[in-house]
Amino acid sequence: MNPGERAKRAAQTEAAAGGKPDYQVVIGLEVHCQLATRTKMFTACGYAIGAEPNTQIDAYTLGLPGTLPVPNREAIEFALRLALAVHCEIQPISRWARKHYFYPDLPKGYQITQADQPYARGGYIEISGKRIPLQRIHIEEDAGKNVHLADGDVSLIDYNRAGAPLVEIVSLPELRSAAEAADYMRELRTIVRYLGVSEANMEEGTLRCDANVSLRRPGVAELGTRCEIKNLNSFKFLEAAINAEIRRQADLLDRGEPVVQSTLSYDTVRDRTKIMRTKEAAADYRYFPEPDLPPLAIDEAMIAEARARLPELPWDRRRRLVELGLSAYDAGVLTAERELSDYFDATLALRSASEAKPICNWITGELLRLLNASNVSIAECPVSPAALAELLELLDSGAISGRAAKEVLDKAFTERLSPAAIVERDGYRQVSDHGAIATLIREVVARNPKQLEQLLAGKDKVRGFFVGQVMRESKGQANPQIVNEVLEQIVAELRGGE
Amino acid sequence: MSTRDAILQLSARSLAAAVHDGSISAVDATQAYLDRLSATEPILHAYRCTIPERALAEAEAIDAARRAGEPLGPLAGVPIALKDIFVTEGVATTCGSRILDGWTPPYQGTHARRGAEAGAVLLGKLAMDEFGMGSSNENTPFDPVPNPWALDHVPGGSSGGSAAAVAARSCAIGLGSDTGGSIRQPASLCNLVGLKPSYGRVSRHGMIAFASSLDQAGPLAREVGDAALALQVLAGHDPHDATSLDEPVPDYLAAVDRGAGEGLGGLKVGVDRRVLALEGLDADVRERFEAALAVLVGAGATLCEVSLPHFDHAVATYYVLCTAEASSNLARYDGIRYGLRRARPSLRESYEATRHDGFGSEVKRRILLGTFVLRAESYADYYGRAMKVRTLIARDYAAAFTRCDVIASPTSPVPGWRLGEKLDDPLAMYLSDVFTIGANLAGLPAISIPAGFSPATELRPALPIGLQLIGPRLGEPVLLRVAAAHEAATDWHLRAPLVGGAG
Amino acid sequence: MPSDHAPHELVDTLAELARLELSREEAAQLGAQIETILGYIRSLQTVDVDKVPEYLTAEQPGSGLRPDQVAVDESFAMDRALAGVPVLRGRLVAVPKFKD
Repeated sequence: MNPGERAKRAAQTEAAAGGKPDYQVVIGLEVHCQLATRTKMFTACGYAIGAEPNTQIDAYTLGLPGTLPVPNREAIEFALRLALAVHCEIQPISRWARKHYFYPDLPKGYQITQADQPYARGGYIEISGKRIPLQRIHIEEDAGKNVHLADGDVSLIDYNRAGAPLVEIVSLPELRSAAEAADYMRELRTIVRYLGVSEANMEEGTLRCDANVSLRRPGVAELGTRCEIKNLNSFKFLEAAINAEIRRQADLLDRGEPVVQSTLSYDTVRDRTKIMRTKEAAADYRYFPEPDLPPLAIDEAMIAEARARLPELPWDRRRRLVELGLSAYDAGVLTAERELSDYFDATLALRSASEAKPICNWITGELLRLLNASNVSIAECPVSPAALAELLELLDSGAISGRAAKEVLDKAFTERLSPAAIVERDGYRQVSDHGAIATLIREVVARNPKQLEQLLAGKDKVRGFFVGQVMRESKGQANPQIVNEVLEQIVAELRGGE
Repeated sequence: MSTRDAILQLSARSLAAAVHDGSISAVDATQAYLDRLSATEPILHAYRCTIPERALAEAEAIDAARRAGEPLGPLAGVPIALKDIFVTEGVATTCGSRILDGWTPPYQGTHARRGAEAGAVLLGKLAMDEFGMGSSNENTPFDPVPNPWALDHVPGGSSGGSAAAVAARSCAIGLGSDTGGSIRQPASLCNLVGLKPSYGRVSRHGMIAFASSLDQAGPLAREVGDAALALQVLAGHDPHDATSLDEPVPDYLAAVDRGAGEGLGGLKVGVDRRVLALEGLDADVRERFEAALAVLVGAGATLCEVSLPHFDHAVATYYVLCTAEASSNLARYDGIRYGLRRARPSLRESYEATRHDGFGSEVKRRILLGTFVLRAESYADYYGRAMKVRTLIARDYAAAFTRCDVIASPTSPVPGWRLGEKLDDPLAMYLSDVFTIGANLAGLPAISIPAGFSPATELRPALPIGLQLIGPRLGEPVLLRVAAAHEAATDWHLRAPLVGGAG
Repeated sequence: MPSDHAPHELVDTLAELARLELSREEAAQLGAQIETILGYIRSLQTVDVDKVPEYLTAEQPGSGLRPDQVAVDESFAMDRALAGVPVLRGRLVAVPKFKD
């Protein structure tokens, strides 16, 4: 985010809190992230997003009598990777627990999760130089999905998602604005996608967020009453919802009314948070240690293996790109998506380190523009790193002009041809041959004696006229640099000849 | 004696051998038991459902395999039945409850699978106390099961149907489940061998959960060797059960043969005499117990004193833990995905009505108790505390086993009671588990074996009385050895009840 | 260890938590029985459990983990599982309408 953006969003939070920083905003986030394993958390049933309802089920998923949980080793490894990447303390022994509540999407009437003994504690996520400490991360299984029809007397349940592996990342309440909260989420998403442990897509539900918000007067040590906003499914709504909640709480406190601990949802149309239930209805989950599972033992060998499988993480990558000469802002844009900076690295590998900036500019400028306009992801980009490198070679060697390069890239993208093929097919090749250009110049000079006189007299402005004429004669194919060079030579000749 | 009767007289071990060598066909064996079943069922209703056609088809397949020279499993041709707590694919499974009335499982549990792979012929599913909760087979929406030895008395529970069927010879081996004594106590009340393995020795996948940290599956049989044979088939690691042990399975029949053949020289039998001072211990049970100890000494064992200081707290501990786990395990019965559903306008009412109609009063009682002890405000004082007392109980046994090889006690404080006699006093019913509960709490193997009968009097008929032996963890071989030695020196196991014609 | 409520209130609270509808008679009878049983269970308060850890069931060398492979359980009949659902609409499990 550039400094201007940042300031604007901070102002929004301030505005939400009453326009004056009377209240300190305290935000903590509980983020659920669905792990991209092949099978579910406690049963070897496959699952993938978008399958037909109730096709990714087995006896355990439906909670059939007699079935038992067996934990997914890969899910543990993914969770371990995440915990290491965010600097958590891994607990050598952790316990599974049952959390009870009755709900149609919870087949057993309880969820297997981790309660007072999670596998990871502490850690932090850094945003714009500020460290947001984490309280803990734990592993659990997901519930199914409820479909409520507008009309009719039934609700419908799809158990495909029931049992999918989740990690829950709980931050300490150290976020101070909606903007920070959104940044935190973005960074967390980037991290898990870099690690390859989750699709982390808020719209698809593989990344979900509940926000706990409270206000307090500065200087007061006690935290205010916190309220939880649930079911936030986009970064935009996350930020808007938190700001709406800050407004709501600030209004109450301004009027001297208490904030009642509640669970809220966000009305996107009215830009307001509304109460779903208050604390009186809070559930007693009757947690107890899961008797069907032994404690989870994580030893040094497992940790070492997970550590070895850590890729270059976003912050290390950003630092490396800055060392290559990119601005922090550009490094941030490139590393926002692992695939984007992978693309950059691949292109750079085919060129030289000195070209880091131009390559970055091509990617974050022209290429991103084309990708966004056609709604294509970098992973599906029709122009490969090799193709982009080819284009850059053509440009560098003078074979094509800068303007031509933009057109060539455009065509390479939409027509899925190599830049070289397009240059040949559509005649973008510049003429750089001195002799050919000199001939052209002499022709133009011969046809324009008046302008020549002015040029020889030292009126440099006329130079542009000659260059323009030569470009037009050559249908834009003359290399402008060479034209200028040779024009200089010819002018010098002509002057010297007089 | 008819061929049918001759077949019924054979132990499962001998029957399997005869099927292996072709002297008896699996079909004949199955038919003999099916005929016997037809005669006894009108009186006992020990079976919840029978599958005679499927059984005969299985038997035919075994005979065909034998004729083709294919290898046969260790239980080939042996007619067995499973307590209705075991999930059997395609065969109705109710767990003794109305809430699963009509449920036909769409998957096969480990026990049914292993039995089938061993060549056993499944005759049907056996009656039980609902969800394994009970000691008399009276906690049931279906007909209660009488004790074949005395038809106005209870057979014990919760594997009451299993015990009645095996005792009446309407199956050769019955599979039961034991959470607080539910295999051993009915075995004791019906003159049978009942074995509860060490926790984790046998898989729990496909056994409908009552109390996850206490439940174990095990056999009821007429002889120690048959129980060993069944255990051999059932024991072993199951990747579907994360609590099942990945330990090698020893040769259990060898342990039986050793006990029967070699005696018990050097083996120490521990007794906690303080426990025998229990108020309510029936005089005949005490007498039979001392006699059984004398048999063991006669076979070469020595007795020694052991102490189980926390014994008095075992029942309370058990009823905190098993009700807590049961309230949790039974939360899934809500009428949404399977089983009984009571249609109601709202979701909440549909949950409540389904569970009200589907569960009997003992189940309700335990769910409510379990809900209480798991509430956040009660946890530390009830569940948390009980889990600590459980550790103390387990340590008691571990300490005792440094001084002895097996611990002996009566299985049940009384030899049985009349149908209906204890229904109004749940606490009294719970206290009848006093001797069996410790082995479940400590995860230890335990066996009940026939140790005689109470004398017939005006007040009550002759009733079977069992001897219980508890072993150290994975101590099934020593238990089987001692049990076999006792069996070799006595003939209680040869008696049969007179039900449905001569046994 | 005091009892929190009169037996009746306690049973009503527990029944609600456990989604069990109870008739007046049932609630009364169960309430009384539960009080008696809880009274017996309270004897556990007399045991010295200082520094005693909670019991761990099976001592497992491992954590019971399995590989991340789809395991086709040939015995699981998905269509029969769905056929056993009391109320089905298409492939979705139906319940009386409720709000999230």
